[in-house]
Amino acid sequence: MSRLELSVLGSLRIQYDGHPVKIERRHALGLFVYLAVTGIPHARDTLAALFWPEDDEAHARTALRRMLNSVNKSIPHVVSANRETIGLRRDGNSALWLDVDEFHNLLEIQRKHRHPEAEVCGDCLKSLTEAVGLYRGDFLSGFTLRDASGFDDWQLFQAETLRRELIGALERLARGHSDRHEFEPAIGYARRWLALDPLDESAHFHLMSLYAWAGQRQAALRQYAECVRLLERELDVPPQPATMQLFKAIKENKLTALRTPIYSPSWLGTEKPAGSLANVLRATGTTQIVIPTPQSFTLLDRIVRGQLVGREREAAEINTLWGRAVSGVGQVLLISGEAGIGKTRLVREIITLAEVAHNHVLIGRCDPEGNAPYAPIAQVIRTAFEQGFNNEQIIPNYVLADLITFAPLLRQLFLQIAPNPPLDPHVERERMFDNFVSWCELVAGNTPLLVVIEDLHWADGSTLSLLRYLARHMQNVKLLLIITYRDTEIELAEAHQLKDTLLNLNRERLATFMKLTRLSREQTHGLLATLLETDVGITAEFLDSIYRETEGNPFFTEEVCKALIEEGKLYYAGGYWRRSDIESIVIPQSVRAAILSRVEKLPAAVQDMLRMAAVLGREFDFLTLQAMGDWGEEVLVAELEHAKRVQLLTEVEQAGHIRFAFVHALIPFTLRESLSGLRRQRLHRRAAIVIECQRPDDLEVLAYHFLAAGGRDKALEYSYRAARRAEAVYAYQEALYHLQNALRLLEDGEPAEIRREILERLGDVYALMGERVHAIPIYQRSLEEWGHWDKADSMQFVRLHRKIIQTFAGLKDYADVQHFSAARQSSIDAGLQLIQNTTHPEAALLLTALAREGRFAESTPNWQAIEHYAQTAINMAEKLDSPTILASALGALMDIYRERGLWRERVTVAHRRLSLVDDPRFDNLRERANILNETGEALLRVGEAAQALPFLLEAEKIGEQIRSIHPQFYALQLQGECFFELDRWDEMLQIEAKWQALQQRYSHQQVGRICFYCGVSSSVHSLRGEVEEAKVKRDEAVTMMTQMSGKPVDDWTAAPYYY
Amino acid sequence: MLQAEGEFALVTQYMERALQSPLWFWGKFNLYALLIDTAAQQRDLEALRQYIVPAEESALQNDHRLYLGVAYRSKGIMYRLMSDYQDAELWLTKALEIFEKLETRWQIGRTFYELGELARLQDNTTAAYSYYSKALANFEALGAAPDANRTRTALDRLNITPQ
Repeated sequence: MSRLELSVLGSLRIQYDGHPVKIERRHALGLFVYLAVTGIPHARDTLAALFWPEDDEAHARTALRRMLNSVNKSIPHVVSANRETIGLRRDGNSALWLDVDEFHNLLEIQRKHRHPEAEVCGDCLKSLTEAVGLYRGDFLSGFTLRDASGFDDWQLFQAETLRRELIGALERLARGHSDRHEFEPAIGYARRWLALDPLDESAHFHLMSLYAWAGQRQAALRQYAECVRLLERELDVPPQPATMQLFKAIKENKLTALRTPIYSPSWLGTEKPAGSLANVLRATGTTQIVIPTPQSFTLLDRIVRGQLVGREREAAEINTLWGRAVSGVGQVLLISGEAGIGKTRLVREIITLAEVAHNHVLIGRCDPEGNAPYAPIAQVIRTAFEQGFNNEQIIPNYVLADLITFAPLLRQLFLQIAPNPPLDPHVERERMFDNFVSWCELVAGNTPLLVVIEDLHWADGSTLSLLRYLARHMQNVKLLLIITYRDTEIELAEAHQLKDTLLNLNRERLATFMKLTRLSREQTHGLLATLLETDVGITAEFLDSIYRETEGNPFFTEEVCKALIEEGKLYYAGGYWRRSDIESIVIPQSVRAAILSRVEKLPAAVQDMLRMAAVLGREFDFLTLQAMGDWGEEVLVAELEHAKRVQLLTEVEQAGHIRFAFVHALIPFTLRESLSGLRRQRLHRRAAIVIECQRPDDLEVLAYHFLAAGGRDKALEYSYRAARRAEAVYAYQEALYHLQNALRLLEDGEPAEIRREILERLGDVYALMGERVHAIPIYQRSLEEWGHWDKADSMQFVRLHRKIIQTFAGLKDYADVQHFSAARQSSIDAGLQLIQNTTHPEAALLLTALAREGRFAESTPNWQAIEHYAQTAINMAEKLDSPTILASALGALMDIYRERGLWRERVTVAHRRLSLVDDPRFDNLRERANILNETGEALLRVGEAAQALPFLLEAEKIGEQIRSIHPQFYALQLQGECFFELDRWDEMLQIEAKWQALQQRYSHQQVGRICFYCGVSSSVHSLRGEVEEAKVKRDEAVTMMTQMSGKPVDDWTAAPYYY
Repeated sequence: MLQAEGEFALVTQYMERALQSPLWFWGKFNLYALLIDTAAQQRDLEALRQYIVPAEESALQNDHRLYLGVAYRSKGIMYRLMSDYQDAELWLTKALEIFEKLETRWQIGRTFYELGELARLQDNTTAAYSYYSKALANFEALGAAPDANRTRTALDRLNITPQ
């Protein structure tokens, strides 16, 4: 017998013996479906009127005949027609299978069960699951007969009826699974239910409950927020009191694990409560929600985790700070405490509140293993883009360009965004930081922003610098920046940068500090009572034995409880937690012992998997772990699920991918420590090999694993590459770290060239960091390496000598100057010797350096020699036809003329230098702005203020264009001076608005120039007789000057601002 | 700032200290200009005699027109204080020429005022009236209220009814 299958739940599908059937005409198709779904014959007149309502009877009947032919042509013998009626054959050679019939049959099966309709048994679940599986979409999705309004109405009615039936089925499935504590499928069905009817408040209610029971408190609260939003937007009504109370219960952590089955026969019809949710439901008269029966979940699921105990004061303080941030006063909060003290838990509280109120929340975490520069910042930026917090339309391209530098993965989203123009390293870094602040301002513009950076003790130096910058510049941003760190780690040498950052934040009063201490004995009692949902059995003796070992560390306490549960020393019976005799209970003596005792009870395969995962870090992805252990997919999934069940691992979603994470950083640390050195090394090697294949650009992680694996060559390669990358994004501490690692890996026998290169790079990084006393000896070592290499080009030596001379010029401390003066002199002598009779860019640069720096070195500079260096450099640069080197040499000559008071000569040189910026090879905008400013300044000094102004205006414009603050400040200062000299007081005062806008953001760096501005502004007000305004400005200037110089007014030697 | 506030003694004190400092960056002609201008405003003949030559020389050396104008005006005031009215007028007029070329209104106003003072001392009230009036126009245009008031007082003292 042939089989004809008709699927109408979703898009229309017809199959005849497994082959698709096509009916050409849409009316014929509609007719066929109508006959199949109704299942009965219909009068021809009725069908004609249904499908062709606009036609007269004769035409309609003709059309009907044509449609019948069309159906018969596609599916022979399926139509049964006579002069009066038309139907489908249900017997004969073709068996018609219709998905709607099957859907109804499956729903009917569970209705025939003997149990109450509200109950969902195992068979019910099976048939319901099959039924909803048939429902691919709405009835005849995508099919319409617009000119057949009768058919259209019928289709709509069918669709709505079936949809209601589906909702009923989904609701029962959600309930059935939640009864069994199978929360994941329950949540899936509830979500589908809600998707069908987003305004169904009971669906929201149910989903909130399921999330809460599944331990996804934040998701539960978010669901409530979504419910409120939808009801308000679509219906303009608030949620029902029951929903609000459920929200309150979840928010206040009063929704506890459920322990009484609502549908057990003994319970039916009684008033017996079913956990706190049941109380809520009963109190609000909401009884239709089923409370699940705890049958199939583990004992560990019974303990109530993640509740905030003993931190009420701190939570209130955070709320206050959040309130301030929301009102537009940016706040920084630093939460410290030992591992396991509950920092993350406390922060989660404010995260939840922020999310429920539809505020933006961004979280970044620092890890101990192979952090890329700005790793937590990159995480924050990526999350914002993934979650759509950014309106890309309003983020300027120059901001996006720097965001891409922080988070290179964004590049794929913004292929068209060009990098920002290059600047001097320090200035460029400041611009990057400024653009990050601008981005935070944009994200927090309309919606307050909560940024959480966790585990700052593992942060890289670049992240610390950026956070410090942000803290200084977020006073008017609706932003609460919360930073957590272990104060127990900051005494370690590696954490000195963090220590400096904390001291600075404290000194500048930029942050609120909060230290979490251990719980008291009473608070530990409270924690145990919360975990176990009862204080029955928590005797003083039991409490003391736990408190003695854990000393009030919440994570340790929780781990001890879990260990005791897994050992069977704590067990659940008769509705309560009970424990064995106290004598038989051995409390682990450290948190690590507690963790290990738990891990060691797991099957060996799971333990192996966890140790391997621990080598990958706190967070890892499935594919890496799978490749590393060569596991089959199903096996690994099962093992990961096992580890999840015992609450050692959790799932985290990142960029739409599921990753796994240890629930606490102490767990992977403990597991790694438990490995023998050799085994750990081998695992790192496996990790490195896998990651090298999967993510070859993960340089920092690869350097970390190859180093730990003892893979010298690869470790060297990746350390060096990681250092270069760090340097490129001004993460100097990280560059230093990687270069030092690379250097350590090099042995004496290595080719000197490699060591020389690494040493020079190391010296450069030290110099960029301002650590000149470290840079000079490193350059000297690099010179020595060159000495060992017979292929050395003499210009390489010249370059290193120049760097020594330039670095020396930046030394501030007299003792350092004394210490390195011999090195400097030696470099001058050697450098000059090497460039004799040579025309080379390096030679010109060396001469320029000598011209620039020579005047600082001597108490009575030899001007003749210094000017000679400059002139020789100029001549050489001209021969080399290098506009950039020539501009630099001319700049050195300008400095010399200024020192010598040759102001007019200086103007001549300035004009010559200015002519170079029009050369197409001169593409450094920052330098162009500098040259314009310095030309303007040279003119101003000889009283040519009117001629200076156009140059200064252009410099200001370029500064704005390249987002570099220094040229803007300098240009404005000089413009102010020009206007003042020209007695153009109104214009002088008009600069104030621009200046103040810059001052607001950069007050710390530019205090001198702001001070100057206030002085000039005060003068203008005085000359106008505006005494009060003049006094205000003068006081500002004096205060800043005093702060800057650290001396009272009378001690100012030069008094340059008393103009 | 102090000069604008009329704290001339302090200005002199600071500038003289700066003159001795090797740290002073921007050239001594800057300091000399300020010193002689302050001395002129204080009518301090001794200070003017002390600083006028280096001020004029350094301004000339660098062709700094503004400071040269300041030096010439100060020189004019110096001669006036020495009762050499002819030279006084000569240097004040030279200063005025420079300031008019530079279009620096406050300096122009101040020079007209000094020319007015000179004319008044010579009992040429008509010329004094004319100079004061021109000074006042410049001060008023700039909103330099204290200078404008001072000039109005000087005009009142002439006791001339405007035509």
